[in-house]
Amino acid sequence: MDLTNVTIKQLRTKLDAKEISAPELAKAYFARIAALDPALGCYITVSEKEALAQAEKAQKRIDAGEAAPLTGIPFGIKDNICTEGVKTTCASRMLEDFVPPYSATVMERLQQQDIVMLGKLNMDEFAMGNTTETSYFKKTVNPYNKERVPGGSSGGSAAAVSASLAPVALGTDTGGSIRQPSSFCGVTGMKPTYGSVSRFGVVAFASSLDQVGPIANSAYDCGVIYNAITGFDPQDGKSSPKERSDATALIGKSIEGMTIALPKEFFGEGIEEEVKKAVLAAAKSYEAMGAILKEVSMPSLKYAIPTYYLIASAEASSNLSRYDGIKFGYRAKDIPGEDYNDLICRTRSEGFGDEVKRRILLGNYALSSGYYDAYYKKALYLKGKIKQEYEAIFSESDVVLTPTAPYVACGFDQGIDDLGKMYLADICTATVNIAGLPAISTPCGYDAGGMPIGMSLVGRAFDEAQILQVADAFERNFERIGPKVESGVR
Amino acid sequence: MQYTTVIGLEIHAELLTNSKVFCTCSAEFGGDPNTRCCPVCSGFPGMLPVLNYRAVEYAVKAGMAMNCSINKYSRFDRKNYFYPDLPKAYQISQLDLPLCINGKVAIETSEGPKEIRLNRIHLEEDAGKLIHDDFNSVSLADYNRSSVPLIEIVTEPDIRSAEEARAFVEAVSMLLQYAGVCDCKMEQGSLRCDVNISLMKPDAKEFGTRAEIKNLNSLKAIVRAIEYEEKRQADLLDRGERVVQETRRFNDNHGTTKSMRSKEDAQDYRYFPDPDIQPVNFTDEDLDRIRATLPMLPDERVQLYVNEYGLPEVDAKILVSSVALSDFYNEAISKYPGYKSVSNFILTELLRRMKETETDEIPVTASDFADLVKMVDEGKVNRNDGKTILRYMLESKETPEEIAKKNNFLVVNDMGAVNEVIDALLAERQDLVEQYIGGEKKVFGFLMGQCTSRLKGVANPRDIKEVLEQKLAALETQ
Amino acid sequence: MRDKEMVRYLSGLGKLSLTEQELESFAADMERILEIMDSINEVEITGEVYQEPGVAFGDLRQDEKKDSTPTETILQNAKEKQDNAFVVPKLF
Repeated sequence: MDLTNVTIKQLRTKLDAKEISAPELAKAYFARIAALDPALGCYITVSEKEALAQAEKAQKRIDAGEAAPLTGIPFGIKDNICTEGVKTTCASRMLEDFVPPYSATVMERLQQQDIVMLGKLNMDEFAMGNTTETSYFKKTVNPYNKERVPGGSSGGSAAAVSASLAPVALGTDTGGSIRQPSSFCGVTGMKPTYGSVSRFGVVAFASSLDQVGPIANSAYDCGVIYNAITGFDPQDGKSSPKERSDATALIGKSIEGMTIALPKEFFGEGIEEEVKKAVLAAAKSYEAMGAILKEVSMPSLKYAIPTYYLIASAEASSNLSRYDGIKFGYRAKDIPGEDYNDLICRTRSEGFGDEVKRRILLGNYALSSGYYDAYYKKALYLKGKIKQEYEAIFSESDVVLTPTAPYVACGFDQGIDDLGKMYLADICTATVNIAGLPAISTPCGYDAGGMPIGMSLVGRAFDEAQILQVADAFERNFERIGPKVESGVR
Repeated sequence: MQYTTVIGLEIHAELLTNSKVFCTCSAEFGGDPNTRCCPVCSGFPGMLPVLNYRAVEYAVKAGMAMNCSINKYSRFDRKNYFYPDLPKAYQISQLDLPLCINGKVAIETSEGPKEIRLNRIHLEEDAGKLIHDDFNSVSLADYNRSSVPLIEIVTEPDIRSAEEARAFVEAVSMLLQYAGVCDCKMEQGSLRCDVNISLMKPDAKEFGTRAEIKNLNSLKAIVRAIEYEEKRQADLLDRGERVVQETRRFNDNHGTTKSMRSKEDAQDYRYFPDPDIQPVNFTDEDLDRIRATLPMLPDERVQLYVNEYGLPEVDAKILVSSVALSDFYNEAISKYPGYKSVSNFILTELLRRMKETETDEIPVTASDFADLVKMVDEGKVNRNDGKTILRYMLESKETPEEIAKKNNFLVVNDMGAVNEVIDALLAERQDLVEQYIGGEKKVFGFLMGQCTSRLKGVANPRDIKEVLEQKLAALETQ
Repeated sequence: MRDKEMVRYLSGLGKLSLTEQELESFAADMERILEIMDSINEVEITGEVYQEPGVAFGDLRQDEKKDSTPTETILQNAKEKQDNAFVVPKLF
């Protein structure tokens, strides 16, 4: 069967109608991975043996007529989500051979539905970066143009879905790491409300910002996956006990009368013209559907980048301190006569890449005595401001529409040449994490070079249903142009 | 030169919870290496701490026992430093908004009662343990103790001597045991103490430079370390040298302290609010509920025992010196309200037996014990037999009634026999009877002695005395 | 202040051993990064600093212990182990 740009809905129909079995479906993906991934570089680990066993199990459930919405659906999983018995590397030399003796809660929840895990996907090292270039293992290319980055940090996840090396994937998003690569690779990705999806077993980057979320070919698929992974988890102290309702419930309902806010700062300087044009065109089409467009303002957006980087790096510097070579992961070769301090310093210097080191330095700077008030404390103050500004907007609007990234996917090595540009690229996405809100990115156009452009819809906390509804309303009238990755495939 | 010693203490006490403060592993002491740990308390990737209700409750309870105010919004912070016994390389602790603030604890000093102010009590996690293998020149990390709940009790610099420090640690230890939150076994490390000490001239306005002596784990070590440090610092000051602000380690074998590191290369701990743990909110009802679980504290019990039960203060203080003993006393007197006799029997007999058998645990039930004292008081057994019965109770676990019966300790109280024996005696000793009537009342004692020895096991002395007195009075008025 | 010495201090806090050359190159990186961060210097804290909402005391985890992880599982990812414990080189 043609696997390109399939949806869960299509696969579910085929699996339930026995047009294809779960093992056959998995094998079809493995064949595609074998043929295409050497050039694309999405997967760090392919777990074929485990996947086929899972597929057999899923098939039994399907045969028994007891299939759940995701039974037998193949998934790619970002490699910072712990999978019991399968290597979880965070794309770092530090965890090159780390096999967790536990699974993340999100994996447990997916496995309750008997999904099939194809393998673990490439990412920026410890999710630090927005191009997937900081991976220790490999380069992932953008399926639309092999000279361009896939975005990051969930670059492997977005590229795999884009190139149909997995129908759906899980990513994580700390400052835009699901939405921005989804935008760059022309797929749909959602960052859920902070606290709605468990972080247990997800290797921490910045604990107050991290969320796991789906990347797929439609908003609807994102909703189905979200429904499976959301829920209170007693193992995550920040997990919300709030009752969850079906996030796909509003899909297909009219958006007439809904107010869509466009914060003017997101359409100003630094945003590429073609991106601006595509997002504003999408706004117009919402207006045509009966939505009311409202220009609003978010004055603190200009401080979003420092606020985000200071909080994220401070937390990261602390979260990454546990990697010392003693308990797990990379350990520098013992030098006789060497002491503990030497060993951990060498382990960390050899095990971490440069971007991770920069974040550790920055985080320690923000927290060190004498600088805490000027940096970390001020970042917390600005976090409060950003939250208030969103609250003010949501008191008069239903969703917020912004570009997902200031520009389309760029070439390789640009960020490394210009750190400033690389950090500033998170401008459109970071405030959502700071405010803990849900947001979805979905394609809204292509630039002259055929590169996808994404738009983001931000909703009220725990109102995933509404952003999925609005994203879906656009998707229904938008024609996606998939990447051409088939050359060389049988 | 004479100096005033200024001491502040930091007491670390492990809480008696079932599970650890941030995971579900057992918080019990000991165990083979790494048998009481999980990915959370071993700091594995992706693992998250989840705060234990009881640990918070116990910390608050300790605070209430020490007259602290409770922060109704309390936050947890990370203290970042690398050490191999700390698997996450940060300790979850509390900096700005600890659970308890501003307490006070009363102590007795040679100059009378004194109050030591507490700055705070906060909740944190303990670190693991390192076992040093000198032969292979390595250390072995065991995380069984990692994340066991710990409170840190921090005083104001109100302590002025080793004696006061000792009294304070004893008082705190007693309060923690009354609150039921810590077993305070210093030899197992469930109670440990850091001492901050400086000297100043008596008329000085400001404190001197202090040294911190870490990890003292016996009362003796605390006293010796302070006394050594007082002398060391006084010698320095006498010579016109200055005291360096530093952390020192106490060497138990030599009784000396030695510098570990100076404050100049002190750690920059980079404290910040732990993003994995939500701050805790308390309602007034929450706090009332916790307060209601706090038993009557030692000072109040002494008052009760002295003022209401009429015990001498010394006795009352011995009874409350251990919560188990005081509870035992309370339970015994609730069954038999012989306040003084129960207390006396505990202090003279029970404690002696416990000392003989070298046990800390009270080996009899309060109910049986109350029965025994009652039997003695009522003359059902005589006092000496009562002591023997207690000894048998420790061995056999039988009730005092059963033991008394089995061993023929029960006084029969055969009043017929009493009358007969006394009549016979008075007839025999006419001479003494006449002396008695003649006014020599002291012969009564001799007659009484004769009666009791002839009536041993037949009747109790009180009844014998009564009959003897009646009969002599009758003869007198004839 | 934002020089090699600062990076030397920060790398010490983070237990990274950097060569002189690396210190210089990271110092240059930090200079560029901090330029961006410094835009918040113009912000003055005029109101409350954000405080995370708390959880109700009664909603905390109940104090129930569960089985720990088998020792060999806890140690399975350690590069060096001895006597059921993690091996640490001798301390300074």
